[in-house]
Amino acid sequence: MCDQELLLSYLYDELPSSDRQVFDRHLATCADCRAEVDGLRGTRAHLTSWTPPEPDLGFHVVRSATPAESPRRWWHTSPAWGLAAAALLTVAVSAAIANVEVRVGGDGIVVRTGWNRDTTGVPGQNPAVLATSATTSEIQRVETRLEQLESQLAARPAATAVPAAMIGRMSDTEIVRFVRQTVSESEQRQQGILASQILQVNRDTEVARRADFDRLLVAYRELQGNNFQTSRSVKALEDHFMRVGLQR
Amino acid sequence: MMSDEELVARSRGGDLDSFNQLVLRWERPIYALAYRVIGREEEARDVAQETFLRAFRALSGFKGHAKFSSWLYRITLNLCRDWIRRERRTPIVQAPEGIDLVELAGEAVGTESIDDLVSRKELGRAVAKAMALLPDEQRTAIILKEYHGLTFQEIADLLDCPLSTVKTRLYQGLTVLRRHLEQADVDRAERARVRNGALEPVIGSTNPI
Repeated sequence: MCDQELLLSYLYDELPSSDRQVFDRHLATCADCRAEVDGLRGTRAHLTSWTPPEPDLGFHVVRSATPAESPRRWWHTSPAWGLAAAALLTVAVSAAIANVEVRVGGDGIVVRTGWNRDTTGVPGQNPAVLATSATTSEIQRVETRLEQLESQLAARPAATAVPAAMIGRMSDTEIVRFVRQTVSESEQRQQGILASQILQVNRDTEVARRADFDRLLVAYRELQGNNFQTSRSVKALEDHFMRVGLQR
Repeated sequence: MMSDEELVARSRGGDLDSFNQLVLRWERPIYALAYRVIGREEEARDVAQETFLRAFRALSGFKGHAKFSSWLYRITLNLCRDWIRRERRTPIVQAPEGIDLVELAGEAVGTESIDDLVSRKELGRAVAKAMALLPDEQRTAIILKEYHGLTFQEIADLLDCPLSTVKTRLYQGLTVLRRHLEQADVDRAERARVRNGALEPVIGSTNPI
């Protein structure tokens, strides 16, 4: 090795171009330095593979209650688990009360939720009737998708059974490829099953929701009827008092 | 986009948004620096947070002689040094032994195969282990050079040591890393060979058991 400092500056491209040319010429004649530069370049290339785990950062300054005292600030960070729990809760609640749409495609499973799909009403129509028809159409749509999904699942080939003799003839690479393929097919099936289960849950939820709504509607009408009765009684009473008062 | 210096000036005038922008700009590099120096995720996060807290408090004392980022790096490195001293621990690398393929699949870059991914993951782990074996000052110099792209002079200023010392530390550190990583290469090749079906290790393999 000749000059370590020079070599290091060359390695990190911190030499002025004239010095760099001089060192290039030196490398052409010095096998030791060439091997050293190559080896250290390899090491540097290896170093790029070390990446820190993805952090949950998001520090930010929060304005304090007393703006006059500038040093009194604090940083606020959200614990990852809190966010995760909140997200999970949101998903669970949304799935339970909103319309859940699950789509299985080449790009995996897409789960979409939303309250207002297909419920835009026609003005003047009875809202109760509208809601019921909307949920019915929802259920029908979900059922159709469920059927599609089930037929897709049925259409998929089952894991191919391979006789032991055939395995014996396969090379190692072929076996590995075969196992990978089987595993990936199995995963796809699992995804499909998961999706159809989610659909089933959604369908049950829709039925329950409709039943709840109907019950609510009945109770509301009863209440309205009662109110009408009550107001009639009150009116009759008032009339009665009025008549009594006039008679006196 | 405003420069760091402009944002610093505004922050000193009491503009919190400007300081938040600086935090947003530098939180990842600062966290990465702390993580690589002390090797622990949770503690690195704390150090990063504390760095910005201190920077904010000391903003009036920042005269702009150095770059804002160098100033932040200095605070971070001091905090890391305090942590190592306090804990009397050498940095370790928290790395689970198994490799989760599903998790790994999310990190795929371009057309990487799962074998490439496993290989990269293993290599990253080997680097982390080898780095943890280095003396603090060598490791710090290499981290600042390799992962933060500082010049030799910037590192010398940051660590308050002569330029030649920085180069010596870098050279010694790199040489040790090279030895470890070349051995790790041999080990990884061996594991990949076993994983891919050649189940009988070659007798006289360079892999010491």
